Amino acid sequence: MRALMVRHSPWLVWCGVAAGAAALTLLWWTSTLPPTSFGAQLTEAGRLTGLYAGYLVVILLVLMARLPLLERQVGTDRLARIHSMVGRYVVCMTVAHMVLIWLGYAMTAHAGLGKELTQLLTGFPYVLWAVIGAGLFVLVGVVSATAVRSRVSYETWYLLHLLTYAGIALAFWHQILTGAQFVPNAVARWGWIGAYAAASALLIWFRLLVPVRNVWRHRLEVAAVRTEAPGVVSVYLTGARLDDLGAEAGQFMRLRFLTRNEWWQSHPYSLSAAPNPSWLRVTIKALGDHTEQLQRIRPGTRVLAEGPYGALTARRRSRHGVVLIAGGVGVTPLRALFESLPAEEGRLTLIYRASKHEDVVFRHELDEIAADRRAVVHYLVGPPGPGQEPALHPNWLRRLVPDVAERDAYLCGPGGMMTTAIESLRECGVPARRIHHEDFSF
Amino acid sequence: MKRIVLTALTTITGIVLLLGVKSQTGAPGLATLAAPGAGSGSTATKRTSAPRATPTPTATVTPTPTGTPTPRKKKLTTKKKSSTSKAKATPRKVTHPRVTPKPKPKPVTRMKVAGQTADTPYGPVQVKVTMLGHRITDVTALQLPGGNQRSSEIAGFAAPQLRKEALSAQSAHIDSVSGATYTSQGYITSLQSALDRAGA
Ligand SMILES: Cc1cc2nc3c(=O)[nH]c(=O)nc-3n(C[C@H](O)[C@H](O)[C@H](O)COP(=O)(O)OP(=O)(O)OC[C@H]3O[C@@H](n4cnc5c(N)ncnc54)[C@H](O)[C@@H]3O)c2cc1C
Repeated sequence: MRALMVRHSPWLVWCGVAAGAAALTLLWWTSTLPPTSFGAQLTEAGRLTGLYAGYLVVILLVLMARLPLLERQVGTDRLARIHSMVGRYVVCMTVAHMVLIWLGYAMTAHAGLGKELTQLLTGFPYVLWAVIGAGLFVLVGVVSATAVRSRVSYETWYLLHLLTYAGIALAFWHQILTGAQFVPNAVARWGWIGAYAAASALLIWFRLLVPVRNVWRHRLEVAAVRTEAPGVVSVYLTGARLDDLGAEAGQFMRLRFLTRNEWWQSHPYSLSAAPNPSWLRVTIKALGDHTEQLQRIRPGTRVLAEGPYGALTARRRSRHGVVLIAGGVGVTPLRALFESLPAEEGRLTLIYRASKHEDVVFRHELDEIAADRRAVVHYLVGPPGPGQEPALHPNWLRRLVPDVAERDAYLCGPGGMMTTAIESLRECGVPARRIHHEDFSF
Repeated sequence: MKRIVLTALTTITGIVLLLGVKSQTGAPGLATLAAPGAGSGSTATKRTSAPRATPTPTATVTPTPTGTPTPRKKKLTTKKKSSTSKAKATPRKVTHPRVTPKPKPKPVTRMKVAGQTADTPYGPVQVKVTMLGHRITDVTALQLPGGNQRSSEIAGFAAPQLRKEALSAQSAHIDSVSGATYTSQGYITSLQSALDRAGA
């Protein structure tokens, strides 16, 4: 049963989502008289889009709650992609809802568009709030669009995202107070309120209360810092009851280092050693301001941790042979898996791609693990570029790992490298369901 | 990109289909009208199945010229939009033969009768009829849904139309105003009960 759940969890999630949408459609159907004019049809289309948008917001809230179950089984990067997809859809539905209701109301009331707009904004409880909320949704949607996203800093993007909570709160009240499905029907109304309340409760519980509780529970702090390579440090964390965290190799945690300048930012870092009861280790490469600062973090610094998250774990494995493909600092979770992943002797291979020899971290540790476990490590070193990428060419892969088609593959690294690697693996005959990867850049 | 277009198309098709099918159906909507209002809402269902006028033969003692079924019939033929209006016509016709045997004459008086309050999801509707003998000379709305701007806006344009229809039909067998279906149903229910009371 458990295995079944794990394998099909994305499907189970989708079925749940679809069932909710069907129930909502049924609610609309039973509470609506047949529309007899074009205006009434527009209005009904507006109500439907509004209902769906409101429903998907609940789903988004649940996705944002970082439920351990979903994070571990569906995987954080996949959840993030679903989140951005659903988010875009909600923005479109919200805009459609506003326009359709506006037109529909104007037509059935035989009023001009301008007059109807003022009526809508001033005559209805909380509709003005909802419009402001929708404006926030659109703003966040625009900023998250790929073209704009690359031009704003992560912090701006993140802070703007917090506005969606305000948007959701602003849009909520008009649903309850003017929604044609909720005003006359107490059961539907309370059901709707309940869904929003439950989603918010999950969010507050997992993103606020649990991390705060964990401060006392685990009392994480920096125990030691070790330089691994230029601009790469390993940070060792100690604390109480570390096995209660339930961390698995391949997972990551969102860490907040409580120093004067860094306390307000939380960033994801993979565990770079298999979890054990006495310490946790993350290995951090300087890529920006924050990671630059962390290179000089002092032992004794308190750390607030969220997680562990991520589905790139041993549970994903379905074959006895495994190939791990790492790029740059993406080696961190694979280093932990390399150490602990159960695999048949001689059928565990790590391919580690780096652009310079100095950038290869954990070389010593990796060689040691390989010797201990009778596993194999291949280092592919050289600057990235058209001449070099063939290192991950299908022919190369087959030469390094002759039985690659029969193995599971775990990947972590920069986007471009991952795409190449996935294509090569597919070409070598590894089905998509046996390719497991974590994306470091959301 | 392909996925986005596909999702958008699926959504639009879905909603259009849903609305298309919904526009074709009549019954489920009418049934639910009765559901939200606990008390007087029940009259709404009664109206659709068996018109209230049936058990009150006393009402139609002095048939006035306008009381003849002709205008109503004409209306039905010109405006047969919904199947419900046709359904309504049938039992009404059946009642007619029963009207004639009652002999007790009554002086032609002017009276005003308020109908029952009919609950709609947007608020109560109540009308008052002014009768001159058996003729409906006026219908005024005592209560209309006005919970919010939108409801009163709709009620504001629907009520005059419904009144006009009622005056020309000389009965509560009138079509609902499109875009104001709930208000119309409530109006018709209340009007019918007022006519019943006036006749009793
Ligand atoms: C699941 C996961 C595991 C990771 N594991 C490791 C690890 O083990 N070791 C390591 O060195 N790095 C890891 N990273 C990357 C690390 O989180 C970012 O490099 C770091 O947050 C950059 O912060 P910055 O402010 O220094 O850089 P910035 O200059 O702000 O950003 C540099 C890059 O990192 C991205 N980024 C910034 N902040 C975040 C954030 N909070 N979440 C996601 N992406 C962000 C930005 O979009 C940008 O592409 C991981 C990322 C993810 C998503």
